[in-house]
Amino acid sequence: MCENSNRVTKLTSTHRSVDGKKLWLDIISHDSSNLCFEFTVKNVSVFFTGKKFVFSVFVIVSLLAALDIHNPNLYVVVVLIFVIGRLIAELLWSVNSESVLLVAPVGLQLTATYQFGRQTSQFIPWHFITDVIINEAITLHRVVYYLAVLLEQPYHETTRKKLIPLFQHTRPRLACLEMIYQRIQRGAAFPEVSSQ
Amino acid sequence: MGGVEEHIFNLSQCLISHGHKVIVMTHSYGERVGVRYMTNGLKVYYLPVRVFYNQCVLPTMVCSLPLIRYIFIRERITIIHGHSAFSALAHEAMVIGRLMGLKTVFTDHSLFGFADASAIITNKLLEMSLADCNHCICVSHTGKENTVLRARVHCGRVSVIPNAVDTAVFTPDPSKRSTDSITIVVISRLVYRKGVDLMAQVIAEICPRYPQLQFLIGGDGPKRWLLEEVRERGGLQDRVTLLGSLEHSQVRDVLTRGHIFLNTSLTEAYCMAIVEAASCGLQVVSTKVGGIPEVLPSDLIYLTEPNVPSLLLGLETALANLRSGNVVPPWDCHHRVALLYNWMDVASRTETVYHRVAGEKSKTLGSQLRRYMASGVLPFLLIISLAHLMLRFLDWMVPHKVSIRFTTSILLNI
Repeated sequence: MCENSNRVTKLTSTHRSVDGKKLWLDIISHDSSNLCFEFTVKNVSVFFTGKKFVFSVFVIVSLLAALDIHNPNLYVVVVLIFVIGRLIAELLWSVNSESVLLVAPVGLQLTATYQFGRQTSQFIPWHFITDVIINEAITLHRVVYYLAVLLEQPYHETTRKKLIPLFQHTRPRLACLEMIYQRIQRGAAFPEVSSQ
Repeated sequence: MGGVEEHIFNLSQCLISHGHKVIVMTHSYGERVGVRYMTNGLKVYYLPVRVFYNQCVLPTMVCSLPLIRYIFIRERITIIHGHSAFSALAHEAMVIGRLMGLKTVFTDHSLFGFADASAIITNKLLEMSLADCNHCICVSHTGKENTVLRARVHCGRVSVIPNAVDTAVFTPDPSKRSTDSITIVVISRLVYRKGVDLMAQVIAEICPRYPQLQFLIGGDGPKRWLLEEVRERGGLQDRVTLLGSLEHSQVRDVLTRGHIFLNTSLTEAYCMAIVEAASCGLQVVSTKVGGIPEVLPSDLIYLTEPNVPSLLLGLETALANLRSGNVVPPWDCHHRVALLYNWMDVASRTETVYHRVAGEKSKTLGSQLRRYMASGVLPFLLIISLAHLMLRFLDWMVPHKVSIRFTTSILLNI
């Protein structure tokens, strides 16, 4: 796309997610002035060669072989449905990469890419954004750092939220978040919050 | 309960100023869940542990194990300091920390009895938990005796470090006292163990005798109705003022309006309130229970027996001295208290304990189990073994990289 242009620079580094999976972070700077850049966090491992996929396929094939079509065993059928269902769910809903496109002063676009190339995105206009922060949250069995966008009140009209967390599915660790945070803070000047 | 939180906050601030890293871990309070940063970078973890009656959590030993272990590794904790014998979270964190090879210190803030059912159970739990604790701290010598007897801790492992008050905040202001009447201030939770029954009777008997006496009562609790009844019966609405529960910032203003401070507790390990009152220059009349005789020098306090005639005698002595001018001036009183008690001193004494504890060797699982066996409750060993197995499993599932350089981090628990 625009990688062919002279002014575009791309930096790639490897990081890990909170669960220990390997991730790539791409920082693409579309413009020489710090007005437009894109952060993409993507899983390194390809789904179709991963251990989980191969193992699931193996289990499905062996269950189908053990299944007698004319006199099906109930338990085998139930387990087969479960495993196939789980595989389909992973194919449809597991996130391959997430990216944040920052264009000052137009806005912020969050895109999540699933398997087979499907994408969903969300746009936040610039004047709603107050700040981008790194915060900590306690989940059931761990404490994670996450990057979040603070929104101005009155609430952003489509989401009605005060805070939108970024990279919710790929969940990179603090080192990666700090790199992204520093680039954003250096580049963009967020609109001043009007005091009420 | 407010005293323990004050203690933790002030101690943390002093330790941070000495260069240590301090984390406070507690359960959630209402909507307050998550990580918060307080003054000077004190990090407080409000864990999402289910809270039951009266801000208490269930005494599970292993239920929050993954989360607590994660926090210990994440913050690189080296010493765990648990507070308050009733804190289930403190005991749980200390058990887990010991299995992970960290050092533990425990501070006991109250006195307990030995006779009733709740005391027997709590004492046994405390004995089991402290069987393998590296060191214990008590807030008075009476508290030390009580802890050593209750929990069968060897007295060489118990230190006495009293609480302190923030004497910069609690300064006297004699101009706020009224000149035509004498004001007696009482600030405490209005519960049975603080002697509200004694207080009510004393008020009822002394007000008719001394017409220029005023009472200011701050604090709230289940026994408030008793004081209101006394007010109604004696027609003392204009002489007895009930202020309700006070914010910590308002306490000093109420104290400076008084001439005498009255404390009628039936049991007390160490009374912060009388030190605060003495720091504000008030004369103190108190019952002689628990650790109170150790707290103030004898010329700054009038000690009485915990019954009504003795309290009346004490109050009348104080009033007579006040009238004749035979009192220690407020600012002298304040300076003496400021020399005796200050938080930096407490923090450096606590640091001595930490240094001593950090030098001890970590124990193997076998020796820990043998220590727990001495308490005589063998099923507890099963719980410890379960916790150990869970830790091993978590080490496999959520491994941590071992860092060679450890910062001195202390974790205070409530």
